[in-house]
Amino acid sequence: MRLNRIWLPGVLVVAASLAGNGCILLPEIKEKIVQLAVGGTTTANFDAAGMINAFDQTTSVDISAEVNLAKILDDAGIDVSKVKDIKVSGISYRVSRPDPDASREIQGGTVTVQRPGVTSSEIQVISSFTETVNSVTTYKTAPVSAAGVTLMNGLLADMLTSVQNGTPLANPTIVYHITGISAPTGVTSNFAWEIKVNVSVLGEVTVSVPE
Amino acid sequence: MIRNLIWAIAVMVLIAAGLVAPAAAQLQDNLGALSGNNAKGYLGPLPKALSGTLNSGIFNTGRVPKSGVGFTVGVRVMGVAFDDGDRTYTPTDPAGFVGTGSVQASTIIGDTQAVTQAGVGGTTLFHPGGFDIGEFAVAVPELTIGSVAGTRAVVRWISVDVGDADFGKLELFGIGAQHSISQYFEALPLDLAAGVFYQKFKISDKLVDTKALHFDVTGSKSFGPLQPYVAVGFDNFEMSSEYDAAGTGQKISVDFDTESNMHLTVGGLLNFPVVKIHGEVNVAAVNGAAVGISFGL
Repeated sequence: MRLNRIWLPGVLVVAASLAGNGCILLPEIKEKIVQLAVGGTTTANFDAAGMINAFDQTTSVDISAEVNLAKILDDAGIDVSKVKDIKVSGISYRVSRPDPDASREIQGGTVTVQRPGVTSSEIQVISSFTETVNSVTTYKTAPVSAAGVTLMNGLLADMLTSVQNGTPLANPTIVYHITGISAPTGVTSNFAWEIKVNVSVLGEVTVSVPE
Repeated sequence: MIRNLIWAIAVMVLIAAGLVAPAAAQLQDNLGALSGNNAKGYLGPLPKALSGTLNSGIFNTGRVPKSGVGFTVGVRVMGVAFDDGDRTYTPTDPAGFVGTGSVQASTIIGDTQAVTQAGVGGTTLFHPGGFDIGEFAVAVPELTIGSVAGTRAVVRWISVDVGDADFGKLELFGIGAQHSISQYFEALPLDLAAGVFYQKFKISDKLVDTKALHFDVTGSKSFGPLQPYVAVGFDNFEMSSEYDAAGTGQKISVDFDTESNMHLTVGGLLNFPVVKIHGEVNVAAVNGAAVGISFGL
């Protein structure tokens, strides 16, 4: 009798803790809409081999091919109709092949972008930078310009619309144009340089979560 | 009887694994867009939560017979509650992005809404939302076998492939022992035993990879079938995470700070001839509770 009085409440406590929904030891499953951020990148390569005094080169990149939005969304399990936004999150650059001249550097470098069929003029996306190119480097954050980022965001928004509507993307190409002084002057340059554009995508997924 | 028992336990464990699988499948995707530093912030609440759960519910008596055949097989369910302060973290700027100001983004347990951070030059970075969870529970099977020289072995093991390509396997292996101290001091008014337990817990191989080590001294006293117990111990917990960066597929590895803390347990065991039920509260890395049911001798 005395023992019953002691352990019966104990049994009830354990049973109650197991019986309740959403309690600490017996989670309740709830479906929740979670906002997910995924990313993508696109790169453009510039080869300065043979250039003297000036680093001046143009490269065209099909952004829709480089940032395979459909694949990124598929990999992350995001339904294309659930994508809320896509934006440029940053631009960085690196030396991918060093110049044999140990003192070689780009001085006053700028990069412009143009979207043929949409913009007729070049718009600055990376403002003045100076970079020694005598060794392979990791990516460094570029000083970006808002006007160029806005142009690229416009292309990304069009990409999203085309993927959501299943229609072809018009004018998917960005033309990058780099200019700058390649010092020391009078000596042929022989280095390669690369810029990388990071893209951030916001979408929603439905997840079953215990709580 | 034993076969039915094993099936019942297996089903309970699979249900427990199923609870975390869908969310964990999404975890790799949420981490993919984060730099190593920010993944550390996003997963920040996990080490304490896993330490608080995995290191609980292991030993629930100080009574270890000096010799004889005894075994139990059962399930332990350990849960902890999160603090509100663990719901957000302050991200650092990843390579290529320079924020115009700091923001508070969700951790894995935080709000489901993403946070938008403005950067210089009109750039924008999205930080993923969390899963909005207030509690965290883990269920594991546990087997005890004894006794030799006042020592019993304790084993936890589970390996579940949930069949989701994004998720892979949940694996837990734990091994330890409890040694009777009271056998050396016949005049002690209670049963006393020292225990040590080591566990490895992995989600999807290296997505979450943890090692836990627990020491304690458990004291208990029998009042018929009821056996209240108290334990004082120490927990050590290590965690790392490896995931693929979104876009590049590059592997990113993150090591978390080692968690070391005292562990106090107060609980009660209902010790029937075949069925044993216990419940306990724990003051550890995160405070929580645990219950368990075992069958055996």
